[in-house]
Amino acid sequence: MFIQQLINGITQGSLFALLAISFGIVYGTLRLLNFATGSIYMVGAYFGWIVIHYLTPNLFLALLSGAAAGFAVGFVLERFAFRALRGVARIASLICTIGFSLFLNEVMSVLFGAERKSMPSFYAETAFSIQGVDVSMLQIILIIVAATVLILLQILIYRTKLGLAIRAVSLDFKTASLMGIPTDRVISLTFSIAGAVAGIAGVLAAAYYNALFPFMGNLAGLKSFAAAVFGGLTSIPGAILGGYLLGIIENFAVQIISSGYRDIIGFSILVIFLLLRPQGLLGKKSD
Amino acid sequence: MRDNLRTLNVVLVVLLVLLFATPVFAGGAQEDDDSIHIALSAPITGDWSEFGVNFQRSLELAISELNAEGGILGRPVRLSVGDTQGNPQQAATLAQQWTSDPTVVAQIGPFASGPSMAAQPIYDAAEMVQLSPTASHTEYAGGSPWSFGIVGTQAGEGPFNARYAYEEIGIRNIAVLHLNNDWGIDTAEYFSEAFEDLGGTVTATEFYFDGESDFTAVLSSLEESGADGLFIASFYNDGAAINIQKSRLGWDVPVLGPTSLYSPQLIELGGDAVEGLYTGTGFFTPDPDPTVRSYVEAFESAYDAKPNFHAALAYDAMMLLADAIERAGSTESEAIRDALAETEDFPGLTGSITFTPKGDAVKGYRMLTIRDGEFVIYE
Amino acid sequence: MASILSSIRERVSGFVGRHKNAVTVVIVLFLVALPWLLTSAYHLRVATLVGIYVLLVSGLNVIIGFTGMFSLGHAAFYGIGAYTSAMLTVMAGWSFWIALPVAGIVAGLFGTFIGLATLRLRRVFLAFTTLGFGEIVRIIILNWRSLTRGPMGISGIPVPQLFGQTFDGRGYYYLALALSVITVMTLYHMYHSRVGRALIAIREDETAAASMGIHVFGYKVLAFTVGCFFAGIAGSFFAHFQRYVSADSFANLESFGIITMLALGGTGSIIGPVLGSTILVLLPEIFRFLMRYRGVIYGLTLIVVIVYRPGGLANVKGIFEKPKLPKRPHQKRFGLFRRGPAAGGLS
Repeated sequence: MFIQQLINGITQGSLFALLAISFGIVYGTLRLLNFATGSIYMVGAYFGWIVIHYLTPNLFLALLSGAAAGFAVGFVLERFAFRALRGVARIASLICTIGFSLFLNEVMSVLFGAERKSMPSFYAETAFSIQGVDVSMLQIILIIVAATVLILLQILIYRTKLGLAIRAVSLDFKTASLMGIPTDRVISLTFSIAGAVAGIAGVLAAAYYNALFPFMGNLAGLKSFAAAVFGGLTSIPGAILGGYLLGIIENFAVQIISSGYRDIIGFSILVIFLLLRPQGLLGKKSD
Repeated sequence: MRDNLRTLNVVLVVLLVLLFATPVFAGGAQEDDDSIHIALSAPITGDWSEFGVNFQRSLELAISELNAEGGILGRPVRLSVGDTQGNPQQAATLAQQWTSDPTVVAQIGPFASGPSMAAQPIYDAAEMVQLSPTASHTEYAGGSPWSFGIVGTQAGEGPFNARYAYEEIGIRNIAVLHLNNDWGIDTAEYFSEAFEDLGGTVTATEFYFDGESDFTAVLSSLEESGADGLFIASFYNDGAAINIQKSRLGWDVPVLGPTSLYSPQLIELGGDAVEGLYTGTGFFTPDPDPTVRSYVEAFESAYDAKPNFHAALAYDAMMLLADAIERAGSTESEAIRDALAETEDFPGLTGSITFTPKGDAVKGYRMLTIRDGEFVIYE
Repeated sequence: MASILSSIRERVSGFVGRHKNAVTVVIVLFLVALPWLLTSAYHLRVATLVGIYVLLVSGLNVIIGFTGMFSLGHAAFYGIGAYTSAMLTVMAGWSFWIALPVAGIVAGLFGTFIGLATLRLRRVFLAFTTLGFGEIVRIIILNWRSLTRGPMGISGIPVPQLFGQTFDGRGYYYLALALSVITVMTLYHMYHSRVGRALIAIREDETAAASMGIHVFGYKVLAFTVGCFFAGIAGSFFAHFQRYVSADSFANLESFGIITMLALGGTGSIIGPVLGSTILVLLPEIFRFLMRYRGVIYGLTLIVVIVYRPGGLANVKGIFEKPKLPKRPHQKRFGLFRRGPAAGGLS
């Protein structure tokens, strides 16, 4: 039972971690809480589904499609709304993300219907068993894809020139722009990358749960916010840690206490944790 | 540039003013004809919109059939649809809108119990019939003489499912998983009570909140309780997810659920995982009954989708209302209410309908099972 | 064209400025006469709902607009007020007139508690904590069945009575009007008092405020308490207005709705919340004819209005205009979304 819940927790945690990262990089560069993250995740899931349903049942093509859709949505959001709101107090941008979230959910609901769509099973065969607990290929793939994306992001941000630019912008927008960094392009790219990560998470979630629907991002978005805060919001390893910890804690909470308190446990632990350590697990105090 | 900005400002203000002026004028428009005006409140947008949209489709279908046969009392029927978004407060606002309109004869909806309960005091005060296809809250129908529900309460359905589980399927120790809303609680409680009365044991009861998509943790913990069967009080969409995740865990026990589980989409979503699932229902699409056949065919050809249990209930609500108005011989609220209350064995798609003194429907159920990817009647 | 329109606008604002008292009298008369102008009970109900949201949004304005604390869980306090009042009148048989202030006080105490607990937190974490608190309150309402009846909700909440008269639609409207006028007046006086100036000072610069001798800690808790008190009052009124409460009415979406009204109307001003709640209660009603496209258009309207008027429609000096990031002068912008010069500048 322990192993079972641990594996459940890690699988779910991978999804949380991806979303938390998406949340975290936008917050890190723009200090903006992007409540549309869950909706971008949903849009990604739908674009993955479109590939599988109409073109070819290939999970990896679906992941690419979901990532591309997320990238595009992220780009559009930034270009047409948040760029105009940059420099204005955050509440306006925050409301804008809420508006976008509503808009995306309703658009998908009108286009595809609000009912659940089924996603075929991929790689359902058992990869290996630990103490009688089966782990499917899909779970392995999910964890590997999530880990790959997270490592790539880590490399992108800490080892490339673009990453340097992103970090510079996040540290000090004005100085960065004075240093000749094309801040607009950097922010636009950050947003798009965050969108792509959320899109990938959406396709993975749809494949794992075999279903997708227009409002699937609401709860997922909220929980990813929790995971991101848990880890410290501005730290990428923190967000990853937060995502996995939240997944594991939730699953054990169901086991130990009751399923009805699942969400509240995640939130309560976070609230208590925040009161004791306001900067998150790996966040820096000065921020 | 500043001028441009100001122009935009002014245009914006003018637009807003115009927008707010519209309802004042639009509200007064009344169609001065002899049609019978029926109102529908349902979640057309928001989380529950799939059900609301199906309500609307079923009602439009029913009304076009009624009108093709000369309408009700020889008068044509027309429908107004209002969106509740599944929100109690909006349902109540909508109720006020319908009751303020003197042409509205009766209201069908809302979908969920919360909105139905919130709207109830308004229909009660305005003395308008509120016929909800799906509200099953134990206090709903009894709360007002003007409120009726046709889905049937769990007091009837619970013992039916429990008897099948215990006697026919042979489950002795059952685990219960339910959606945490009024309907889910009732369903789980009436079932558990009846099941224990028969001599069975409920090994564990767990619940989940609407919107949850991960059931592995709760299923693992239910599995540990040592049950040889699982009862799920869920809608078909969660039902499919629960079965998929259950089979992934390798937990191999029979699953049983109430009528809300019945939907052709259950099989589409659940695939192999729902094979062998049992669900009680009053309605299912392959039913050879001619009224069911014609409804299913009309629905499929009009909307390119298969109707589910909730859609059929909305159709029944409209047809029952039409029947009651015919029997009342008038569109007076009181006459309609009395005719509805006197309904006896109305042949609906979802089973025959007779109301209890409170206004709940008493219904008959059949047990279905899924074999080779098809719903079949369980003998 | 543009100049004509702008001159009209200037003349109107000039007129309003010169005849402040007359304009006020006209508005008050209009609001008092409204139940007789609106023929339909539906329109009256919508007007009453505006009143409820004026309370909620004005309360939140004290927290966000005056003091600059980011609270995303206002619906929780609304729900606490509604449930307190419903339980007191239905289960304990209290009179509405006692339950109303008690609901406000209970919600206010919860506000005090949240304020005390979260004082150390930075803005974004405060936002998260309040959002989490909202979720926790909703789940406790759903799970604590012996107290709140869980998902069954509380039905049969009595209609308030005054001088032996049971409230009808007009009675509710006048009560909502009275409550919102009292709220707006109270907050107006608060805003222009020592307390208000202290709160604004905290919003603008906490460290500076503290060094000026302002008791930052106390004032922050006070702002939370006052804001939540009004939410509790609104909740109590709502419970007796709808006569059925369930947790669905107090979900996160409701908190988002309230904060959207605040942002759209304009934070930090007195009239902003009134404007925001009026528009956003009316807008979804007006959009009813759009049917399935209602949500799409509503979302789009929100985005366009916010992008176009990021300071809110009232556009009075508030936290909106405090620039966080400087804008480069040569930056090319997308034409439609060009902002006025007021919003730029260095931080």
